[in-house]
Order: sequence, then C-alpha cells, then structure tokens
Amino acid sequence: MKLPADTEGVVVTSVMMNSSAENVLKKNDCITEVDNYDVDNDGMIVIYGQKYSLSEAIEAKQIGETVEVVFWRDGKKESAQITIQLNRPVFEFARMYDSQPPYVCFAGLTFVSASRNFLETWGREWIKDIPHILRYLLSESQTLNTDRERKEYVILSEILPAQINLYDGEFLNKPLASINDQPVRSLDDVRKAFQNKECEFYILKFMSSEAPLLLDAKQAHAQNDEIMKKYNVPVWTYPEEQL
Amino acid sequence: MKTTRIYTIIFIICILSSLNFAKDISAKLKDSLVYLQVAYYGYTQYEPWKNMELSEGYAVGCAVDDNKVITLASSVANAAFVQARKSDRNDFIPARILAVDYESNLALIELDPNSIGKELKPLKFDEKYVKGAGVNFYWLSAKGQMFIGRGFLDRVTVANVTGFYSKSLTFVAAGISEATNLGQLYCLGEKPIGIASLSGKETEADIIPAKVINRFLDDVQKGTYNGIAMRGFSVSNLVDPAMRKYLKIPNEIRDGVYVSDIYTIGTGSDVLKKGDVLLGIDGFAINPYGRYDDKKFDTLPFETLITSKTAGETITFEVWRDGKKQNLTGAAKRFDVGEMLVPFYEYDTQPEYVIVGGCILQKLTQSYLAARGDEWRGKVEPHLYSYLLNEAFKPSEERKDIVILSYCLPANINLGYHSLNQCVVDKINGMKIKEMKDVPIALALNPESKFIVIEFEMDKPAIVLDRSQLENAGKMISQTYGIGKLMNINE
Repeated sequence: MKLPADTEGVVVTSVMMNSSAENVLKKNDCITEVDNYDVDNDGMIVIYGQKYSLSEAIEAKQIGETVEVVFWRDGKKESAQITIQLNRPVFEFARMYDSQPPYVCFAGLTFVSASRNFLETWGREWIKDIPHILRYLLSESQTLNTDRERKEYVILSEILPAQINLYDGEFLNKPLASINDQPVRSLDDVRKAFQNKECEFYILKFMSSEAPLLLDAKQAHAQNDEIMKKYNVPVWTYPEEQL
Repeated sequence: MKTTRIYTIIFIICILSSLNFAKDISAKLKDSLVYLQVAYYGYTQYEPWKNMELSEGYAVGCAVDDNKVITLASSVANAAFVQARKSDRNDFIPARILAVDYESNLALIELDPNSIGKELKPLKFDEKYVKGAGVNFYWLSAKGQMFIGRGFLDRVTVANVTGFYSKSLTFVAAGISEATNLGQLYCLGEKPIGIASLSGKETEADIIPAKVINRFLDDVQKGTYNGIAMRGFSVSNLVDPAMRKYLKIPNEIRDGVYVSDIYTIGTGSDVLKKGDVLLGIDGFAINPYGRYDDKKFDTLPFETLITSKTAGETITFEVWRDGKKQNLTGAAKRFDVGEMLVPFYEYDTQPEYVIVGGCILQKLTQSYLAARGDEWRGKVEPHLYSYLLNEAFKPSEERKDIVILSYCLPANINLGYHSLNQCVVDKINGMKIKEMKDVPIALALNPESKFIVIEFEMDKPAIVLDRSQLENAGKMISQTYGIGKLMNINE
C-alpha cells in the first residue's frame, strides 16, 4: 500500500455505483481520517472517548452536508470533501413502512421490486429459505450490478393462474432481465414494455434462467381484464397508469 | 351354508394366487451372496490434511464370477479396506476393488483367490421386468444367515444417487418389507434382476437393473470400460403454445423439448446449440415433457437414451433448428467428474489444498459445500453456490477449477485477515489462477518482491503476506495445527 510506517486506516475495497463517493474514492485507497477523526486499522473512530464505526461520522450528518476524508493513494496523502447523500442501494435492504408496494400485474404475472419486505414473506427463516438467486442478489447486489441505469431489481413474485400463463411456473421468484431485449432496470420499464401493443410476443428473459418466458401479446391484452376481475386486482399497476 | 363356505375358500385361493408371491430361493443363493465389510477413511473437507474418523459399513456382494462380486459404488466410496464373508465360512476373506463407476453406482470386488476356499456360484442377471409382479430380495448377514424380504415391481424410471450426476435406468419396487439400499439382490421368481441401490427411501427401493449391471460387467471384462455416456446439455419443457409459435414449430410437430443450456463437457455439448428444439434421439421421439416411449418400459425420461450408451458409441439427435428438422450425429461422451468446474464429488482421493501463511486455498467441490450439513444449500455463500448451480459443467481452458480461500488458520503472519473466508481466488502475485496446479507456480513468482499478494473476486480485500516470514510461519503453523504437509496437489 506504500503507507508510511505506523499509519492506521482502512482500505477501500469497492465504491458504490452512483454514490457521492464514486468520483472521489477508488479501490485500494487507504482512508486514515474522516472529519478529523483518526481511523483505526479496524475501521473505528473515537468520539468523546468512545469507539464507533467510522460510518458514525457520516451518519451523524444531514443530507447535503459534507464530510472531509483523508486517504492515501499510490503513496501520496490526499484529502477530499464528500457530499452526504441518500445513496439508495439497488436491492433495498431497509424495511419499508406506511406505503403500498409498487407492482405490475399483467396477464396474471405479478412483478414487484426486490426488497427486504418482499423477502420476509418467506417467513422467519427467510434468509435461508429464499431462492438462491435472490440470496445472491441480496448479498452481492453492488458487485453484481454493472448497469449504471438500474434503479432496482424486478421480481416475478406471483402468478395468478390463467390460460395465458399456464406454463410459466418455472419463472416464479426470478429477477427479470429484459422484455423484448430491452433491459428491465425498474418497474417502470415493465410498465412501458406492456404498454407497447405493437409487438407479436413479449419475450421475457430472466436472470439465472436460460429459457425465455413467452407471452402472445394479443392474447395477453385480451385476457388481462378478465384475469384482474377474477382475482380482484383493482389496477394493473400501482402507482396507477393506463395500459 | 356349505356352498357359501366352498365359494369363500375358492375366493381366498384366487386372491392368494393373484398376489403372485415369489418363491423363496435363499438356500440356492447361499453360495452366491457375500457379506462385505468396509472400513472408510475419507478426508475432512474443511481440514483436508486430516482423515475423517475411521468408520465401518457393510454391503451385499452378489457373485458374478468364481471369486468376484458386484456391489454398489456408493458402498465402497472412500474405502480403506474391504473384506468379505461367505455363508460357509466364519472368517473374513480379504477383498479388493477391481473396478468402480460412481455414475452407474456399481463396483466389482475381487475376493482373494488364495483365501476363498470353495468358489462362489456366479449369478446371471436377467433383463426381465413384469410390472406389478412380486419380487424377493436377499442378503447375507454378518452372522452368515440368509435373509429374505418381499415387495413388488411398481414402475421403471431413471434415478441417481444423491450427489451423483447421471440418471440411469432404475426399477422401483414398492411395498418392500424392509428398506434396501446396500446392494441386496432382487429376484423375480428364481431370476436375479438387479441389486438395490442407495436411495434413502423406506418403503420403496431403487433397483439397478440387469441391463445396467450386464453392460458394466461386459465392459469391465473386455478391459475397455469407458463408462456410461453423460448428458452435456440441459432442456426445459416445451408445452407452452406461445413458445412453440415463437420458435415457428409447425402444428403437425407435437414433440420436442427446448435446449436451454449447453455445457462444455458431455454428450451433445459439441453438436447441440442453445435454442435448438430436441425432437428425438436415435429415432425415439421426445415429447414436450422430455419423455419417450420405450419399447419395453412405457414412457421414460430421455436421459435414459444417453446413459444407456457407453461412451464412444454413436448418437443421433433430431433437432428443430433454423426453421427446419436436422439430424446431428456425434459420439456419446462421458467425463470424469473431476473435470467439472465444480466437481460433484471426490472419492478415494485426498482433496487438493495449499496452505500459505495460514491461508487455506483449496478446490471448490459440491462435497465441500455439502459439508455444512443439513440444508447446506441455504447456508453456503451465494457466490460459491452460484458456481455450482450455473457453471459446474462449464470448465474451460481459461478456468478448470474454482480455487477458494477456505479460511485462515490464525497466526501472526495473517493478522487482520482472520475473518476472511470463502472467497474465490482471482490472482496470486498477479497471475490468474485457472486451477489448483497454478497455485504453487504463482506463489513462486516475483521472488524479488517482499510480498505474496492473493487477490479475490467480488471486491474482497486482497491478502498481502510478508514473504520473508513465510518459511518460519509455515513451520509454526504445521506444528501448532498438526499439519503434516502444507500442500497436496494431485498429479
């Protein structure tokens, strides 16, 4: 690391995509100070005589404030200001309250955003019981995501049985990668894809699935209202939009 | 009253005869079955320099020659010593494994000809199958007593032993009077038809049928045993009308499964393409659920058409590709499980590992992951499991093994890295690690550098070790942790 002897600090192993630190820090930088607090080798800082994780110096700030970071890079000491932002991860790990989860329900296929709330529907031992691909995305979402435009992962969370989706069970709980070769980076992309009625098929490709899911576009639109009525789905998407 | 009684007796006789009880031939089989006692001495996955605790098990051997018996490969996996007991002897006879094929789950054992005394009476396995027929199964106990159990032939399927890959033709016996999974001999009437495979089921038995046994024995006898052909691709059902329409399959073609993935090893990997529709193999049409009409056994999963071949035989795939039917001919292939990027198992061999500065580097295998115990799939690190799930059958010149840092044996030289574990090694001293054999080569690189640098995938921090301390640290670690050798790389 080319650090002077007795220098303490922590090494940056990755920088979160689209975060306010992205253009400031680099992999293998060694952070030695955060807002004038010396960082120990175990990532701790001392505030009023008590040891805390260095993230405490950041979390104590309000959005829009700045924090000064001192770090070593290629044998040189540098410093920079980083603006505090709400850096939302692509896989929301925080529990969410007081709001209806957004969804898209088309041709009986129900899509939701990947979130902790969704994963906890597996019950008490959800971390062990969820399908592998969801556990993988949850634990490595930052590393696995190389798409700067991605806002979230979209999961096929439920299939309301109907003629059009009789054979689609194998795709349940899988993250959607694309529809008609257009990448799915948010539920908005799913809405837009199904609003396009000019195609013959909707070709849905999923992560960790080699075969695609095919929907006959005309039949899907023709059956959609009936399916929603049958299963008491009030609107095909929330927040509401025209299909 | 009298007439009623007569009718009742006739009725009972009819019922009994319809039950088709098979004849007990225990006495005839006394010289054909042996009791095999096996001592196991495998290796521990997380301390690969150590053997597991010595354990014992037993199996049934069925004579196929004067001094040779057939049994389950799963019963002799990691065997350190095998001995046999015959019904006419109280002492044990030394035995050795002549041939083993884990994918067929069969092993041929030779009893020491100098100690055997009276020769065994070889059995001839008959390829007979009668659905619903009563079957008996036999085994010789440790005390030299012949036992018999009963059941009936319920169905034919393809199955494998948990952890093995290939699925071979299997008879299923239902209503069995006792669980059988150690090679017990199944007979239809007086004819031996197969041996019980390892299944873990209590009320049903998987039977390795004569067809599979005879092929194994014939090939071993010829000295040209190439093993069974193994599937080199995966498929998904093709029942969705929208998918068939999208693939432009004409309505008159009702068959076919979608080829969803192609491996780099195994049968079909060199001729099939992802997106093909597999319509048939060797003239047998494959329905959209992946089954075909077998001449003898109704419908069976298509995998039987592959595993019933010996590697090297010709195989013809009929596919729907580019809007037309095509026939693709190739050779049926097998692969050694060790060739897989993440091998399903490694028996009879010590796992490969290198310990450098207390960091244990070893090869990722399914056995390693499964060592986490029950429900290991939900416990193991997702990025490791992902290699098993998605890449196991895709080794390449660029990557033959997944080398991982299992964990660090705490020592001064690796202070600060003790919590690092289960990481996939990317580079050592700047060299890309393609397989375990690369590890010692990479460690020897850059001798002028003061440091050994181990880099990992998934943004895990690199390990930097002081080269000048390595030798002494190695000695200390060997001594502290009782490690005989710090490296095991198989030739």
